[in-house]
Amino acid sequence: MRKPSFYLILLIATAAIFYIIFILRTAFRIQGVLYFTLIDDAMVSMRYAQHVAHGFGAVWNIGEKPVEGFTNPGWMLLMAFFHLLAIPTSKISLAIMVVSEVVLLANAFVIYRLCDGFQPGSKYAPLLAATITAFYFPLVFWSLRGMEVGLLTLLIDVGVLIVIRHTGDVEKRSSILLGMVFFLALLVRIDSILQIFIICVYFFCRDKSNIRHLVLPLLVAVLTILAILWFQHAYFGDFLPNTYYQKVIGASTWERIKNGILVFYQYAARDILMLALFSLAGVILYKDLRSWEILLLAGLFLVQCMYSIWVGGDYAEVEVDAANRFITQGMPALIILFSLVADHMISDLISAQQPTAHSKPRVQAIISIGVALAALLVISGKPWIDWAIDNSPLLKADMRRVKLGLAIAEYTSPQAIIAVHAAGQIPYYSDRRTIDLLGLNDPVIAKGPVTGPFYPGHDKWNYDYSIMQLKPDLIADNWVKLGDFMKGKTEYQELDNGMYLRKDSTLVNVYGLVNDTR
Amino acid sequence: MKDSILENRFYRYFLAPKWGSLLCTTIFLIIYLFLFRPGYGINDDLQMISLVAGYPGGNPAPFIVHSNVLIGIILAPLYAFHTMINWEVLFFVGLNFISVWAFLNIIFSLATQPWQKLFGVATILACDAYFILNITYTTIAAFACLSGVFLLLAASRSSTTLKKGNIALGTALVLMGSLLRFEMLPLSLSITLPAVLFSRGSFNIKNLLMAWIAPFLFVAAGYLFNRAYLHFSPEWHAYNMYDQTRVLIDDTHRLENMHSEIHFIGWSGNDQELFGRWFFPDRRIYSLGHLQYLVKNISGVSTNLYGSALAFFNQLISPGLIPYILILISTCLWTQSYGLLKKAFLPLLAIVLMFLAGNLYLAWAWKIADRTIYFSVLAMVISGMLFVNWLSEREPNSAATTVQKTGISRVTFYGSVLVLILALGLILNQSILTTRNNINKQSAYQQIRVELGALQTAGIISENALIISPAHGLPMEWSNPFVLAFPSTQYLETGWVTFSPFYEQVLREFNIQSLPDALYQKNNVYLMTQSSFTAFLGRYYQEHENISVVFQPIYTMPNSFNFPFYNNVQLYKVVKQ
Repeated sequence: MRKPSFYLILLIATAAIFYIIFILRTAFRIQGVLYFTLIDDAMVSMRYAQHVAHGFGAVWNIGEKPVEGFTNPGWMLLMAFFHLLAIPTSKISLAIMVVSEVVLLANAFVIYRLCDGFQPGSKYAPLLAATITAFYFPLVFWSLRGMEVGLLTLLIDVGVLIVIRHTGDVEKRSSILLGMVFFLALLVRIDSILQIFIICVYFFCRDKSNIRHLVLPLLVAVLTILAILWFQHAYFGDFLPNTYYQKVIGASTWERIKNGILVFYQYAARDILMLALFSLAGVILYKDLRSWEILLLAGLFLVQCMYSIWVGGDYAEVEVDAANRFITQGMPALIILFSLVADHMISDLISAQQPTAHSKPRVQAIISIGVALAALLVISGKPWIDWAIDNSPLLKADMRRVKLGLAIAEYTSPQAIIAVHAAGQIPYYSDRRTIDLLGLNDPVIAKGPVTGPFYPGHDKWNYDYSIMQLKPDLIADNWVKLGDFMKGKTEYQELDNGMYLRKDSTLVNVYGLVNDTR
Repeated sequence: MKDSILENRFYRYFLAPKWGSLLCTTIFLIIYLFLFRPGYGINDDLQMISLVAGYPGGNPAPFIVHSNVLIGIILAPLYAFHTMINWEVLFFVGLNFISVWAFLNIIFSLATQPWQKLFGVATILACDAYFILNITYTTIAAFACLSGVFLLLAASRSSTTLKKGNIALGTALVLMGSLLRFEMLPLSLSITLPAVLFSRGSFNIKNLLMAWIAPFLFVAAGYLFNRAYLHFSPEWHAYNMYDQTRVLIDDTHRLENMHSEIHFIGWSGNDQELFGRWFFPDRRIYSLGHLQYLVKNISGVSTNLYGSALAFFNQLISPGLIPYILILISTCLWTQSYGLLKKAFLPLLAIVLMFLAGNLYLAWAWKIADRTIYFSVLAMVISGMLFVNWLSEREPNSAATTVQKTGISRVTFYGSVLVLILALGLILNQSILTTRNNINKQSAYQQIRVELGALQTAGIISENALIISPAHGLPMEWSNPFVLAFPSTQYLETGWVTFSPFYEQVLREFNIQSLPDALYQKNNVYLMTQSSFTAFLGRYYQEHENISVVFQPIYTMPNSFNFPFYNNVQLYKVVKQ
C-alpha cells in the first residue's frame, strides 16, 4: 500500500480535531455530572443494546415478548458491546460517538484511496473528495450523533474499493474480504442490499470472467439475508422489523412517494444539484469518464435517492435542513464523481495556463482544498453556520429528554409503567417499562391503521389501546392529538409539567417529579 | 505550446462560448439559489398559482389572468401531480437560467478584450441578482424577452451570418416571456430598438427582418390562442372584460381623479374607498356598467405631471437602483477609455432617452410599479453595455481594441473599474439584506400558518372555515417560493380575482350567494384584514344594508419584523348587532 500523503494526514488530523469539538459541544451537565447522549432514534437501539448486554435479550421491555424496534442489528450489537464495559450511563454515548469519529476518519481515508483507484495518478480528486466527504454535514451529524450511517457508508465504500482494485489475478483474498464486507453491511442494516446489488452488477458487467470471484461474496450476501430473515422470524415473530410495518403499512404507496419527492426536492436539492450537474457535464464532455466505474458511482448514489423517495423520506429533514440519512449514505459516490470531473477540469485549466504548476503538490493540495471548501459552502454551508450558532439540530430536545428520563428514574418506583412518544432517551435513562405510543416498539400500533397525516414513523397512534387498555402510570411527553384525547378522561390528571398521571397510581412521587421537570 | 493549449480539453469545451457561459450561469444560479434566499416580489404570483393549483376549493383553472392560458394548461396537471412543489417558480428559475445563459453566450462570443467580457458578465449577473431574489412573473418575463431580443439582434449582426441556433433560442425566450406577460415584450423592444436605428451599420437589415419572422409568428399564435380560449369560455370572457375595465381604474390615476362622478353611479365616498382597498364583491355597486361609466368619464392620466415626474425620479435614486445607475456610469467611463464614446454616443443616448420617455409616459398615464422601473433601469444598463461591446467589436482591428494610451483614458478606465466594484459591492450587500428579509418573512409565515391551524384544531374557528381578505390579510407572498404552502384553513383573497369564474366556484362550494352578507350571516366565514379596514366595511353595511355590525377579533397576526402593509392585521368574525 502506498504511503498516505502528507495532505491526507493533515486532513484527517484536522477532521479528527473538528469531530472532537463537535462531540464536546454536545456535552451537558445534570446535577454536576457531565452527560453525553445520542439522537433519540439511536437511543432506542441503545435500550435494546442495554438489554442484550445484561442478558435479557433483544427486547423492548424486560420480560416481554421480543419486538424488533430497530433496523440496525449490527450497530445495536456494537452498542451492546460497550454496555458490557464498565462505562457509566452518562458517558456511554460518548463511546459510541468516538467509534463514529474513527469510522468517519477511516471513511475519509477510504474515499481518498477510492479516487486514486478510480483515476490512478489523479492530482486533485482524492484530496478534494476526502475533504468534502469528511466535512459533509449530514454524514458528520448522523454519524456523530450515534446513527449507523457512518459505518454503513464506510462498509459500502470499502466494498467498492475492494471491487475496483480487484484485478482478476490475485484475487481469492479480495473475494473473501468482499464477502465479509457484505456480511457486515447487511448485518448493520439489511437495506444495504440495494447498494450491494449495484456493486455486484458492476463487478459482473466490468468483466464477465469476474463471475467466479463473485460467487463467494454473493453467496455470503444471500445467506446473510436469509439468516437475518430467519432469525427475525424465529426470534421476533416477523420477517421484517416492526419499524417497517410501522412506517410502510397503511399509507398508500403514492402518498409515500409524494412525500419522498417533496422532501427530496425541499431538503436534498441543495446538497445534490451542484455536484450532480457538474458530474453530468463532465460525463458529457469527457469521453474517458464514460465508463463502468462512473456508472457504479452514479448507481450507488441514485439507488439511495430512489430508496429515500420510495420510503417517503425520513423524519428529521426539517430540523437537520439537509439531505436525509438514506441519501447521505449515497452521497460519497456523488462526491467522488464530482471530484473526478473537477480533477479533469482543473487539470485542463491549469495545463493550459501554467503547464509547470502541475508538479507542485502544495499547489495541488491548496487548489483541492479550496475547491472542496467552495463546494462545501454551497452544499453544507447553511447547516454548518446553523451548527456554529445553535449547536447540533435536535440536541436541545435530546437534552431535555435525558433530564426527564433521569427525573422519572428518581421519582417513580421501578414497577411504574410509563408511556412515551419519543422512545429514545426517556425509556433509556428512566429504565422503566415503557409503552411506545407511536408504535415503533409496539406491533399492535405498527400494524394498525394510520391515524395522522403521512410522516414517517410518526403517523400512527392508538390511545384507546395504549392508554386506556394498557394503563400506564405516567404519560411522559406530549404529541399533537394527545391533549384532545385526554379531555374528559377522568382516570388521568394533567400535571403542571404537561405530563399525565393515572389517578390511582401510587408509584409516582408527583411533587418531586413536577418540581424537577417543570 | 500553442498547439498543446488548443488541444487542451478545457479550451475545447469551456472556452467555447456556449459551454463557458453555461458553466458561469450554473455556478451563479446555484450560489444565488442555495446561499441566498429568494422570495416573492409581490403577491400576484401566488394569486395566479392559487388559480392553477385550485386553492381554495380544489378546482384548478388554467386561465391565470395575467399570463397566457397556455402556461396554465401546462401547469395545471403538474400541480395536480404534486401540490407542494411550486412548478411555476421552477419554470421561472428554468427560464431565468436560459435567459442568463443566452446573455452570457452573447458576451462570451464577442471578439473583444477579456476585460470587456468580464465587465459584461459582471453586469448581467449583477442585474440577475435582483431578478432571482425578488421573483415575480413580470420581471422573469421581461428578462426572458430582453435576452431573446438580444439573441435575435446578435443573430442578425452584419459581422455574422444568420445563426439559426440563436434565432431558435431567441424565439423561444421571446415566446416564453410574452406568454408569461405579454406587455414585457413591447417594453423590451422600446428600450432596445431605437439603439438599433443608430447603429444600423452593425446590423444586416435583411437578416434582422428574417430573424423576427419566427418570433412574430409564434408570439402572434400564442396571443391568438389566448384570445380564442377566452372567446370560447364565455364566463372567463365576461370576467376578462370586467377585469380589463377595473385595470383602467386601479392602475391609472382615475381613483385620484374621481370626484362628483361617483354619485352618478350611486357610489358613496366609502364605496370608492372599498374599491381602492381591493374589496368590491357587491355586484350591484361594482357592476361592469358602473366601472365603464367611470372609465369613460374620468381622465386616467395624472393631473400633476411635475409631481409624477418627480415621483419617478425619486424612485430612480432609491438605494436599490443606485448600484445599477453606477454600472451605467461605469459603462460610459470605459466606453470613453476605449475611445468609443463618439461612436457609441448616439445609441447610448437613444437608450437613455427611450428609457426616460417611456417611464415618464408610464408615470403620467399609469401607476408605474417599482418592478417595472427596476426592469427598465436594468434593461437600459444591459442594452448600453451590449451595444457598446458590439460597436467596439466593429473596429477593423477589433480584437486589439484596448484602452487608449492617453492619460485621461487610463484615468477613466480605472475609474470605471472602481465604480463597477462599488456597484457590485452594493448589490452583494442588497442580496444579503434581501436574503435576511426573506428568511424572516418565511419563518413568520410558517408561524402564522401553524397558529391558524391551531385555531381550527382548538375549535376557535370553524372546521370548514373560509377566511376572506381584501388586500393585506394573510401574507402568502412571504412564503418560500419553492414550496407551495397554502394555509390549511381555506383562504380567499378578493382583489382582482373578484367575479372570476374561479371566485364564483369557491363561493358556490361554500354555499355563499353574497359575500358581504355571508360575512355576518354564515358562521364559517371570517374576515382577515388590517384593523383600519373595518371602519370602511362597517360603514358599507350601514349605507347599503342598514345594519350595524361589530368586528370581533379572534386572532392578531404577528408582524415582529414590522414588514410594511401588515401591521395590525387581525382575524375577525363579523357579527350583526
